[in-house]
Amino acid sequence: MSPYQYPVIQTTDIETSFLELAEQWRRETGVLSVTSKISMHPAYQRIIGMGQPVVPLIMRELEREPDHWFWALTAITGANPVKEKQRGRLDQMAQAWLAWGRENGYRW
Amino acid sequence: MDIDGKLEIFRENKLPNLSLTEYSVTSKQSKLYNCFAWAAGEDNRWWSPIDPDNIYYWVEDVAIELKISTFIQAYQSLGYEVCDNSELEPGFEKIAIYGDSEGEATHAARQLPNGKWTSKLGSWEDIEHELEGLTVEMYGDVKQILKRQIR
Repeated sequence: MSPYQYPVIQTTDIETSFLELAEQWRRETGVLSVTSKISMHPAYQRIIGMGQPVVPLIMRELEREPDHWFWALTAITGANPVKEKQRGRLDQMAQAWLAWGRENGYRW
Repeated sequence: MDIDGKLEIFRENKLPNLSLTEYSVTSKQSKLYNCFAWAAGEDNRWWSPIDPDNIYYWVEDVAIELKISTFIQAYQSLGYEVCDNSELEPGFEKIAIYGDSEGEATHAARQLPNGKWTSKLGSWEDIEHELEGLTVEMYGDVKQILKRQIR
């Protein structure tokens, strides 16, 4: 395989990889308060690199428990549905993104 | 929270000075607020200067950057002023800002009336502790103490 070819990841593999990376990210950044450091963790960056197919998986996680998925969602989709007064309020930020996901045809 | 008021072992291992000093867990874990909010007395918002689009809460008219001086400005907007010691002073409340070797803020703690400090550990629990207990590579050490008169 040339250095510029990567295997195509199957849907089930995406979910498995996502869940493993998410668990690693949560475990290794849970003690941090600086969001840019939390979001620059290699596992989180790999999740961003998985692109649009991972958005429904993130939405499912957000619905289960609000967490710092907002940087990733903005990086992947280019959107930012969080209103100024909602900034920092994770439960409201999560609800804004879940509503955006439904409006834009994502299912999870 | 563990039954004896201590963090889970894998969490304590990330903060090795905690077990060498006195500390106790004082809340359940929560992702709804962080140490910078908790130091300011908030428990329902995550404070963090972050670009682009500043998607988290940050203090209005304070630069969006991680410099210690920026966090000092943020707390000054709440009436705090710089202070040269962490001793308990009747009539005053204090905040300690931790920072790394690059001069970036990593953590903040608030002094309690008993002289100990309260911290929110990222997305984990609140703890009551000594300042030295959180001196660790990822937090660095205390770079600035601030104080304000108790209203």
